[in-house]
Amino acid sequence: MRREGSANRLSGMDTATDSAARPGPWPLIVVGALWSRRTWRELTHLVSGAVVGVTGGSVLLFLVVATILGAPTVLVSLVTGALALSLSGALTALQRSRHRAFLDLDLPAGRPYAAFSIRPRVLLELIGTGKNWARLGYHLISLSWGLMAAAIAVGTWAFAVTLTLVPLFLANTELVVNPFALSAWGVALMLFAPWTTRGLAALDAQMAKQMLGVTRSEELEMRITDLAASRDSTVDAADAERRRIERDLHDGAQQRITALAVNLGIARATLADLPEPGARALADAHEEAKQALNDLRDLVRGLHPAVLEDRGLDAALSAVAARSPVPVRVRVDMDRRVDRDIEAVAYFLVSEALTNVARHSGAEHASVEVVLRDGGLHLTVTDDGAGGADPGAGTGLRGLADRVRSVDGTFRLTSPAGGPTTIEAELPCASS
Amino acid sequence: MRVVIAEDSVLLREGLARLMEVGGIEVVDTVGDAEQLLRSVERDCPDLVVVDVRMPPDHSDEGLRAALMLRRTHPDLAVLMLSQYVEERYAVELLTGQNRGVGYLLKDRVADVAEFLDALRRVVDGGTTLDPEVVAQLLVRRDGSEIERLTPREREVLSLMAEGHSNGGIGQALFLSDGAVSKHIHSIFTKLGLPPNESHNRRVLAILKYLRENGKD
Repeated sequence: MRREGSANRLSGMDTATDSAARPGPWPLIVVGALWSRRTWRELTHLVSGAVVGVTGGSVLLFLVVATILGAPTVLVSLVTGALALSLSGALTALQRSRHRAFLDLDLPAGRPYAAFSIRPRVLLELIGTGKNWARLGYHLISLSWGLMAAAIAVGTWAFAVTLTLVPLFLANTELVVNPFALSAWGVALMLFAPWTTRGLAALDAQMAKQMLGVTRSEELEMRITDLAASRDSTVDAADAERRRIERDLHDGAQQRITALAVNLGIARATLADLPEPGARALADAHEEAKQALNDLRDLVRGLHPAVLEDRGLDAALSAVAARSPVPVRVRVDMDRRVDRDIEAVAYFLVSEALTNVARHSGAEHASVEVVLRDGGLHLTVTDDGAGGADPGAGTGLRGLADRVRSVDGTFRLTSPAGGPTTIEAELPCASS
Repeated sequence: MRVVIAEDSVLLREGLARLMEVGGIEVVDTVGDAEQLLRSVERDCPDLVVVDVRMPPDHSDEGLRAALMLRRTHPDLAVLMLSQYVEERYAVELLTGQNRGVGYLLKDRVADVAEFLDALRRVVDGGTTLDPEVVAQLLVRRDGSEIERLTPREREVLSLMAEGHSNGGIGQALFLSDGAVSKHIHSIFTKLGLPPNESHNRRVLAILKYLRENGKD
């Protein structure tokens, strides 16, 4: 939603859909503007601007003056000031919806405006935000500007119509000027009126964009929040999917293949006098079933091990270490469980790092340290192998770094030729 | 030997029952959840229960909790836990207190019929049987302990002991003479500072107790 908003805002009012805006012969455009929907919407916009501007602006002006005059009695100032800020926030929301409704102009909302509050912290924050002063300014300016713009726009129309209709009323009166000449001027002015309206509306939109919109840095901040949220939900969805597949495999294929292997084992044990080809086939089938069971177990571990889900990182890592062909020392110091996705990233990081140690390093010892402190999970995997690990060499190392980044963690690999190799990662964990 | 099987997968439950039949073991009841298991033990007084760790309704560790309760209420009942994955803490919980006749194996081991039946008998006879993966986990956690002073061969002997093998079994697995096995075992006990113990089962328990008490950190 917000992304569309900012796209609209960049291209400004050009996105207003309107048949008259289509290129065509210019007389058609000029005449067409008279009854184009856009013209009348923008006129309504200006009139509504006057109503909102005058009522809102005058109340606001009263509050501002009261705040200034009430300064000696701190309390009055505090209350009226807080009221002014709160009203300004509400008016901003109102103006935003007006611009959206009549001009199709999306002014991206910054942070939602705070409801009335005289708590110093809230007030200070509101006052400290430069944007809030611009907004307050816009509402005070619209007190006069809104009225003026509407007056000019409506006045032009009214004057043009009156001039055009002059011959009807004054045909027989003695006048210095020819009533029909006046009428011709009226028609000309009427053709001009839509453009007055549009010009004023464009001016209002420009002002609103400057004063009610968000600054570039606010916009980027919002964009980052958006992107982070969408990335998080993608990562979450992927994790949920892994867990679902793990459960499905556990409830389905794993049970079936275990039962199959048991039955083949029973057949093998009881059919001792089976003729040779049959006995061989049965033995092979039994071994294959056991192997399939092993493969499936490895696959499930790679997806999302049940022990991680049930018992947490500590337990899951001791299982990983126990399977490692290189002896591993494990130290896990965590006084609580952390987010499931952080646990998963930490698990796969250690798991992949130990696989690399076993495959490439030629190490005799490795150690894994996991410490939860200062709101972060610190992981260190070291080995006493040959070193020279290259994250660009297409090993699982780059995948590890990516996975760590997906949760805003940091990843560092130190692996000089001759060793030792150290992988350090820090994963953020909200402290509970 | 009378057995109750508690396993929620129907396929595997039938497979296990058939397996016991082959081994000449009497299956008195098969159940699908922990509550039924408790009822069945009261009613049928089996010698052994074979229990899946993960069972309905929550599929977390209901089976284990039921087994722990049974070990308190029925000290003579042997318990063999089966699980999709092994977790050293489950083993530690099972071995705490009453240490007679306990086994803890990966479900995959069921496929090796003869070995599985052996494990069953060992447990019913009051012995212990631990999955090699559990033992590996128990060993890996000893950060900086005396375990690191053991030679690789001694570690192998220790693992097999913890899995529940007899001296003869260890000798066969490692191609060692009985005398050599005894020498290794003596050396392990000396290095770990445990009193020498002749009874096989008590020896295993001493080792498990050591591993447990010198746990993490």
